[in-house]
Amino acid sequence: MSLQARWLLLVACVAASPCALAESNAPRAYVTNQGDNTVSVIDLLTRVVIATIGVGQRPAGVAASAAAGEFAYVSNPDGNSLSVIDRSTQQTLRAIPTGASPLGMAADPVRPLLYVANWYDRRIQIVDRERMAVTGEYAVGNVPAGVAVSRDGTLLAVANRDDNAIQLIELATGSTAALIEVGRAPFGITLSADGRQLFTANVLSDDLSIVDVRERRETGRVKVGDAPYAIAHDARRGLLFVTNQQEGTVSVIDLATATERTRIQVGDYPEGINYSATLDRVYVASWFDNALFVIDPATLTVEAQIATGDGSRAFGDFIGE
Amino acid sequence: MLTRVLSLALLCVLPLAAAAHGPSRQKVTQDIVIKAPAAKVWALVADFCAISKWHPGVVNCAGTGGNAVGATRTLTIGKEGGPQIAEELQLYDAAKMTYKYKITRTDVTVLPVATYSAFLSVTDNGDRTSTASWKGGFYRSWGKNDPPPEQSDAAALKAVTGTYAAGLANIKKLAEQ
Repeated sequence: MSLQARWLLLVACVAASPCALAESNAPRAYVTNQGDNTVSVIDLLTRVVIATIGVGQRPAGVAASAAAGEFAYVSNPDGNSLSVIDRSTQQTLRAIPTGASPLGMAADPVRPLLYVANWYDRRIQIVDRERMAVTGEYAVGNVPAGVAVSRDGTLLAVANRDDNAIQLIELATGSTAALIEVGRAPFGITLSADGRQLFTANVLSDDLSIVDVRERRETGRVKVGDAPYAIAHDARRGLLFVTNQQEGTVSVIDLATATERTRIQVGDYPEGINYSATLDRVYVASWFDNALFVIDPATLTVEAQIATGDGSRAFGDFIGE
Repeated sequence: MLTRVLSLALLCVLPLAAAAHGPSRQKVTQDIVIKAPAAKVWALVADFCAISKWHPGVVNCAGTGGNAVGATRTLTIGKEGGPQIAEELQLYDAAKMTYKYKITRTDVTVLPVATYSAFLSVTDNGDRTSTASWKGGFYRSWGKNDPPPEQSDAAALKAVTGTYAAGLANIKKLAEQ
């Protein structure tokens, strides 16, 4: 382990309680590389790529958080399939056929299910993770992109990109609980850690919508950079980090005041972005630069850059911790 | 009035451009090493609308706004009266010898792309040589499944690759004269 990694482990151990973080179960990132049909598995503590896994055609979406269980899932829009990755061996176990162009995904933290948006088909497919098969679907709006599930498993939130709306589905009944108007072309969708707020990155209106889940309405709109794509939430500091695809930056939003604090220069075409609570770092995939950028949310600076495969997307919850 | 007409035109173009992209973006990166100082190479390409002087495929460029962010250029391709492509400057950094632009309206018969943006950059290699780079990200023009061959990912990649190769080769030729 490098000196820096040891220092990070120390920081992580101070931050996380109880201090049980060993190298073997350090958080890992599963970064989809759309250009070369692989996933880079990165140990985020040592910042080393520990495996490069072959998956399906043009992988983009990923569901690799703890909610996904023993496997990590990757969507292959050009192969109309999901790849199932075994986290213990870092190998692709099998492919699950889906509808046309699966993209956004989210794992149900309560049921052994996975929700997969079909870009062209106005539906969310329900994948049974035990049977490894599609077992149902929900009808949604036009061009479903990002998908998120509340921690208690009650609500599924879908960004219907071409309707400029968020659709909330009650998972107990499967019924649509609300359609909430947001900015133009919502793409990435992120739930706050406490489940009370939803955030969407609106690609065409260059802003971020803040939605109150209980009140089922948009309560705020914050201007960000050119073509925002996805959002990470640092609940500890009350900050949002938004990737601005077309300008190679990450906007930092102060949630309390709903204002932009700064923009951080990262690689070109930043896309997937996640916050690791364990390591207290923000991770950003750069599609053009084939890298995962590491941002320190305390200093709001880029701390490191990890080389990945070609065309990193990492759209979804790509960190397992 | 002109501004209003332009805004209307843009409003018409934008939703179309947005609709026209599937999930799989393509990229092309090309570099060429030139036996000339970076300043000389940059002088050739620095003006956003100088492209008709250095790109053999562009016969005319009509520009507005110079090199300010938001400047536009309309390229005529191949021959007078040929297909046109409209572009807009997104970033411009003379000190770093780089700029970024996007296509606001294409003609799919010559460039079958959507949501296209690209960087043109010159770097000093420190040994009286320099490198000119052109890199772009884009989707194919066909936004739905099952594109016809002339609007497929392969067609988009081929058109952009050919555009960059021809342009960079001519920059090298002009700079080394």
